[in-house]
Amino acid sequence: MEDSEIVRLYWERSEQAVPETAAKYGGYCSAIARNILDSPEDAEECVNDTWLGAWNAIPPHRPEALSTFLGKITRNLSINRWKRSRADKRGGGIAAVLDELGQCVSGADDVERALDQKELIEAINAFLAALSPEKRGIFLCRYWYSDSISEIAARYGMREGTVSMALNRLRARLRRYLLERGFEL
Amino acid sequence: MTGIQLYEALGEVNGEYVRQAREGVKVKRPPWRGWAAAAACLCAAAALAAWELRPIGNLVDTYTTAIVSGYPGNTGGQYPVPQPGEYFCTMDVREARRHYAGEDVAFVLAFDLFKNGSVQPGVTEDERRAEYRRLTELGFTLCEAEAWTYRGEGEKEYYTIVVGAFTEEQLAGFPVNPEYGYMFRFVYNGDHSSLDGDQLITAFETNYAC
Repeated sequence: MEDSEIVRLYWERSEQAVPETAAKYGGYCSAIARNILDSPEDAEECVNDTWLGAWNAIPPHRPEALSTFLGKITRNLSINRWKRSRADKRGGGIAAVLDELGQCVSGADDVERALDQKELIEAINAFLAALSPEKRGIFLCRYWYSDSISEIAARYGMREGTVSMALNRLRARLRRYLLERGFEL
Repeated sequence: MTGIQLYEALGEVNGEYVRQAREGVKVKRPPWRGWAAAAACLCAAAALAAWELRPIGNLVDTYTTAIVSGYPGNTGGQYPVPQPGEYFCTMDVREARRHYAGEDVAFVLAFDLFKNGSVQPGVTEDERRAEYRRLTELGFTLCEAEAWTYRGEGEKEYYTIVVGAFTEEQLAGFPVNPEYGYMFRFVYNGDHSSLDGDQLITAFETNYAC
């Protein structure tokens, strides 16, 4: 079913919207959740919660790209689940990803110095816009989808070492880019 | 700021980029085309396809001249390490400059930097960046390019390199930094194809990676 048809079902409050969404995007959202969470059960719950989130958000929302709209909900739900679970144990599916991103920032959880989130996102978007599509894709596969290095290498037809090297450079570029624009990382 | 905060912020980036990241399965490199193809098979100036640099950073309006990114001349050979304050061009660059003398072209060239007339110790990353910045402040157009070579069992390996678009006038009067020697050369991919316009990533100061 076309995305526009699925969105129309949501707007018509048809309960068929959920199974249609799950049939088309279940695998996509599951992959995102599993990359973040160790527990398959937790991941599955987040995916199910994604359908509920979509049901509550559409309407009034009318997503242009249903896939990324759903993926974003899954990602946020999974991050929240991961935050709750890390109180009990260190690590988790995104531990390596967070360690890498930690190299871009100070690590200080300073709530007093709240970054302007909107400006930060705009700056990151500008940074991404200046990258080649391939570099941007590699970066987002790792830090948006939390894909493993080997998955990214397979997807882009590159060696794992090449992907790791590219990510190293991109993180350094992002850090430098944000610092030069006055962000206190 | 913590890693998780940055990770959460990344979740809010342009959805189109996120979508493209998954669609961009095994990005295909374009075959020779545009000025790369022209530069590779040219035998007369008329054969050179005019190519306007893509709208990236400060390159956008700078050149509407023809671009030469390679020349089918002698690309091998050994060269002395340039002494501080000196600059050399490889043989194929010299041949290209002779061939296009008097024509409105710009050469896309990388340049290696040497200190103390020696390969070792090499120029540090900070020094290299400072030199790139000096040249851009002098009005030179530098750009990061992504070239590739073969590694292992014939796998392509991509790497980034800073290149400049130099006119004959700029090369002839190149304002050397007396601390460095310079070696100008064309950048070739692993199959000896010249840099393609699509391999130019971004203007130097916009987003330089090395």
